[in-house]
Amino acid sequence: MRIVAYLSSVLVLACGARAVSPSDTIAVSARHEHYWAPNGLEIVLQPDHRAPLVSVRVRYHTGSKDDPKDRAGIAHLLEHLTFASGTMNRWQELGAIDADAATTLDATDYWVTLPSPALDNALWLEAERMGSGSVKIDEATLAREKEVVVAEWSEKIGNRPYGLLEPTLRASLFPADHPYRHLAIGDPAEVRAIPLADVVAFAKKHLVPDNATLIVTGDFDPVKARAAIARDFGAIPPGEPLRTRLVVTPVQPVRDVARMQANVSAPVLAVAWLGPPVGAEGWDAAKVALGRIGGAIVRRRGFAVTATTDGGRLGTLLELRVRGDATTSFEELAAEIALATKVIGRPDLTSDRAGEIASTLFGFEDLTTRTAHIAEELDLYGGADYANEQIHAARQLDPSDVRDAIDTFFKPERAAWVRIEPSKDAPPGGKVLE
Amino acid sequence: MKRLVPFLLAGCGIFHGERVADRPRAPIDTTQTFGDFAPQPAPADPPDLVFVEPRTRITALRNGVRVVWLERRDLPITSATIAVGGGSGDGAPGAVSVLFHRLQTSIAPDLDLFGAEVNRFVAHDAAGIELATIEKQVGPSLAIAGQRFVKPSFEDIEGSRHAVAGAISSRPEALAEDAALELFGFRARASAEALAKLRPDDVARAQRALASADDVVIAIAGSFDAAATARVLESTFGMLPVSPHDSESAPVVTPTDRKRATIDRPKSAQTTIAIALPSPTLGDRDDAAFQIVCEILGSRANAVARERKGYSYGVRPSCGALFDRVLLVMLDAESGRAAEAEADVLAAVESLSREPPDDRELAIGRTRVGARLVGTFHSNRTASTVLALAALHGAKEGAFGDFWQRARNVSQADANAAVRSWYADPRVVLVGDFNR
Repeated sequence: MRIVAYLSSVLVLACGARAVSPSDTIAVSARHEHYWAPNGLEIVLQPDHRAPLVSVRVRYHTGSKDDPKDRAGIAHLLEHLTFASGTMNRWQELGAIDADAATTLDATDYWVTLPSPALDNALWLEAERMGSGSVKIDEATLAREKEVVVAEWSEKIGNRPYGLLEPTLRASLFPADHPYRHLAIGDPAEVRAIPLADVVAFAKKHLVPDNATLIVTGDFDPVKARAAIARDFGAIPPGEPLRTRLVVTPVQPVRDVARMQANVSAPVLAVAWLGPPVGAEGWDAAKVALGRIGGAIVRRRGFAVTATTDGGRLGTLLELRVRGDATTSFEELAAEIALATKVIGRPDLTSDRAGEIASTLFGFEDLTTRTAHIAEELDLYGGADYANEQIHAARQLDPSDVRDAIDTFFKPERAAWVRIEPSKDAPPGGKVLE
Repeated sequence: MKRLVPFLLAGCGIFHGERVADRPRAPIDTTQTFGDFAPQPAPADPPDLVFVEPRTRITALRNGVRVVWLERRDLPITSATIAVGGGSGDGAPGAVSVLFHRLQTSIAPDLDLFGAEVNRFVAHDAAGIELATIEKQVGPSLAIAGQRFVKPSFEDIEGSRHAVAGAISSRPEALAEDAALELFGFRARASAEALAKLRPDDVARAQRALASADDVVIAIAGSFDAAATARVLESTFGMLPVSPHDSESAPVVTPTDRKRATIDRPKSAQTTIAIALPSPTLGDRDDAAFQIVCEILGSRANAVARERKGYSYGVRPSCGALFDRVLLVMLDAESGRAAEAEADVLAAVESLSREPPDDRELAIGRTRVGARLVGTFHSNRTASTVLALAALHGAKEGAFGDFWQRARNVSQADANAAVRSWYADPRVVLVGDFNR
């Protein structure tokens, strides 16, 4: 059993009067143990006795990227099915203040934050899910959860203001066989067609300890937690070996421009650029660059701008949505975006660094968010001290990195556009025209 | 610089790019053998939850602005909430919503420079600004917020008018929440019609009425230099005027006779259903029993809508909101099943009278109420806001600890009394496409 344990220095020293500078020293105590069980389960234990709460997260490194052809949404459906067998009720009985699951492009997470005396119960429930999850799936549960997933699709896509934008952008950016082309939630018609045998086979392949990371943080005794983990998870057999897949990350979209109609008061222009994989060279700078481009548009014209990033290990999209007023043309909006990518030189990053450091600390405060960040850090960089690593990375950010990211990733040939035209007759999620 | 590995240059053609790898599986100890999984016996139920309210102290600035301090140095961050004792029910319709949007947007750019965040909230009888910052920036953050709060500018309210209208009209749950408030006689936060009529003078009047020293509470939770922070507060919020206090007590709000409201949302495939009930606030009769019953109602409604019938992604009761006057139990369902969903959730409400909560349900409800308290005070953000609201409602230090003691002692008879007093008159709001 490999064990990595270390203590990060606790340093909370002076900052500048107005903003955090690279020379300031801010760090958090992030003492933790990081080890692997014999069956391949990766484990991180990080005690924090601020309040009588613990947070437990199990991340399976299986997401919608692993959905087989014509089975878009199966990873997410499996998440629902393994949650449906009464786990949520049990979480509630134990006093969970935050218990849920999520499927992303790269991973499926189950998490719970609950009173610390219930840690043994939480670990036992997660071991049960890992060891018996596929056994408990039956036709009746499958039929019901398919309908729940379709309802979720409506709630998050079909019934949201221009909710169809995201699938439209993905279809423009990624080729047909790319693992990131479809949304994690899948397509209602494909979800309804998934047979039980496929779900069971998918579960057997992926709900295995050597495909999972268990993170525990909060008010607990690590010695007792290690014993409970060994007892509950130790006997779960590992999965069959899988071949590592290599995926080519596209640098050019499939389609330049798409059109939608939505019930909006003014035209909205959305653009997404193909970015680097999360964590790869240029990723941190590309995120900052995106915010800078959005900020430049707001300052120059006062347009409403939303900047978001999405993606994972196999590629990302860097997205801007710009809404003008009723008389603004799409050409005008596009010209503003193009101008914004040109006017940023070597920006002063003082506020960006401060923002990154502050948001890292805010995330560290919340146990659920903290386990999510630890999982992300492990996934991308292999370490568990995400907070101090993030703070260090923020300090290292250099203005020339941002300019390089703009020149590399925000080029017109890497961009896909969606024009959203106002239409009173469009359904809430919008209507894709071409 | 951190890099993802392996990271190989490859390929050509339209989709040329880098080749990136899936995450490899973890190493296995091949010296061990594994049989079929047999779960261990389930652990016993955990011992009862313990909640201890953190110690706070309450002081006042020289003009009477109350300040609640919750000092803890476990993380180098701080949250502050500046709350006023008036909300959407005050001033011209929509004025308070626009006022706090203006405040937020005028503070945010300056706070952004050093990574601090600002949010806002507007309820029927309270509104506020929430700041979150690293500890060394507490002073500058409060100074900026204080300057804007004492001397705001309302020349241009167009942006706020549109933002507030859009935030409500585009979200079915926000529409439902406002309609539910109106069924119980409270004024909605902002209708599109009211916002269209609003003038900058209306917003300025609302600011003058609410920013009165005796109606403002500041709560600060986290790590800070208390003396330096007090000086900043005196030099900013200490400048707030003391308005002649209105001797009349708050007007009594009477529920309307309307039991239902429907809001048309054309071409919506789903219907948002909100079951609304009157709610006691912290310190009112039945407050603890009401919250425990709320948890039980949430479980019963979810058992039908999610676990048994599966037409909903989940039922969302607003349990734990100790200062709301209306409890909302919300869910979304495909429009074809909306009538069934409404009937099922109403049946869950009625079941509280027919099948009173048993001991096990009460124990679970009690645990959940306690866990929410622990969670609320664990976070500086939520702690500062509930402490500010508690002070506005006249709660004394230790009010949450007292509430927890009441919750621990809630009996079946107490729960039944709460059901009779508060759960007997549900109202319904539906948001969906009713012209199909």
